[in-house]
Amino acid sequence: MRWLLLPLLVLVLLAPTPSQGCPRQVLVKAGETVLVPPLAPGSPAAFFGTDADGRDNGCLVASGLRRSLQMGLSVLLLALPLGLVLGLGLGWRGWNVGLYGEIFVLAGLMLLAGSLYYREVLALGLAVYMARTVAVRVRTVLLEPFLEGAWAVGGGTLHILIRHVLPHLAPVVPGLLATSFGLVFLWMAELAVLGYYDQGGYFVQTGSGFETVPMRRFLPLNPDLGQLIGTARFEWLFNTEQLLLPALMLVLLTLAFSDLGRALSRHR
Amino acid sequence: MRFLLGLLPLHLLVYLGLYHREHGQGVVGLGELVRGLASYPAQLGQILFGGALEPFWGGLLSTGLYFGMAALLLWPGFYLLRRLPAGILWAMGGLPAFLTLVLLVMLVFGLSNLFLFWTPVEPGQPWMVGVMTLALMLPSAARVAYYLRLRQEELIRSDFARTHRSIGLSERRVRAKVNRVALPEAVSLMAGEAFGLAVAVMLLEGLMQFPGVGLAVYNALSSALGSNEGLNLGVAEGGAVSSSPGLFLLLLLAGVYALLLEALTRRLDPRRQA
Repeated sequence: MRWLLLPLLVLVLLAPTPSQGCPRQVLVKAGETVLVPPLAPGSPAAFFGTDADGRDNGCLVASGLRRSLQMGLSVLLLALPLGLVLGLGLGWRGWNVGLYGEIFVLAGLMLLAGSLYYREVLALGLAVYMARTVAVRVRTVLLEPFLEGAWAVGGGTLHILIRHVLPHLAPVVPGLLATSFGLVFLWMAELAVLGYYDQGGYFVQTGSGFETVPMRRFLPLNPDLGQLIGTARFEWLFNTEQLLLPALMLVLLTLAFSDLGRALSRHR
Repeated sequence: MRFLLGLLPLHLLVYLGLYHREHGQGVVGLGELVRGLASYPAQLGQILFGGALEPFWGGLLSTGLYFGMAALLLWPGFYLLRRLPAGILWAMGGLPAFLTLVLLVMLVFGLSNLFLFWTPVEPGQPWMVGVMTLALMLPSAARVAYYLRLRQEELIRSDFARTHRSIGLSERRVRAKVNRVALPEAVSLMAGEAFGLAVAVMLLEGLMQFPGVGLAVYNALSSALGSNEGLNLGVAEGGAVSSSPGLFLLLLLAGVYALLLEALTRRLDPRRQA
């Protein structure tokens, strides 16, 4: 499992950037060239098939993977300082913090904040998770005999913190970061099944226009993997691969980073 | 009573979210938060004494069936799975329940195509109940089996195992002693996963659109933000908040399960008995 992350990173590097876009079809060549989906079913340009709107599945998932990694990284960067400071404070005071039923907590916060604050809500949840781990580590260090000695010879709070607690905390941080990074992707997958994801998209209206209920389809724009799951959740029994491919990618990311976390912790 | 009070913050948070989505847009304001908080005691009174739970009792039966069967099968499940290689257990433990469901449904559809048998996707169908239960149980059982194995390997090298060996106990008896210490910790891990199981049952019922308390909560949560997509899910009659008794029942189900497992942990732990 140690090499799980490598193919995923290679896939990210090979994925088309938003400016390049996924392969499209030349629809009209007279005068002005119009490049649009849909790709024809069975098109060699779409090895993994196409979605209901004729977009290449493989390309959507690869570019979704890139965007999910970017999002995960931004969530991690937001959560890291808060989680460390909160964890230090909680550990120092000997207080406990728990995050039970975290998907309910995240859903509740997201309903209060709106989907515009998707990343911030995830970062808050992740900060609490990190704080719990850091607090446990800080409490363990504070109980060590050498710290009793440091207090006894008159070491001040700042001295204890900088000279003793932080150096003992530092080796844990890489493993914690990798595990937390993996956790973000698991949360993203579960929240996506609820229909909670980062950004909107655009609507395509089909039909004659005289229907009592307008026939509208939601098309995510530059979607991340969560959004791909979210938009496929109503039709997954008929287009299983639409849900399966992005969900598998998110799970592989989770496993790859939690494996990295384990390896880093063991190395320590 | 203390246990019930422990569930309330989680229920209150989601209730406030649903209340906000029903009455406002964007980020919640202070005034709306205060109004939501003020309306919560009445809502709780309705849930506890006013019969707000009545529409959900029927749904609780099917949700309870999936939840209860998964909880019961977890025991033989982790016992059987513990013989699998650690890498497989670890990967299985990382699968979310909804993905396990999708994979199992694909497997059954594939088999039904191969052997030509009929698999209607309807609630209450024995194969569907089996697939839902397995999807809920397998990842959790794999996590417990993985943890149990790690803990056993750690304990088998510990001082007390060495002492047992030195007084002449057979390796089999030593392993039995080690199991007695490792098992309560595994049960405690299962208790910690109770709310995860509740989330999983909600997501599975939502994905399958099978009636139950989980579906009511799923539809309420999904439609509350789903309006961003312009989707009319046709759910939550009487507003999203009307599903908060369902959420209460779902949390209660998970809470009671966790409480039972915690009690069992205390009972199984040989150190506490000593």
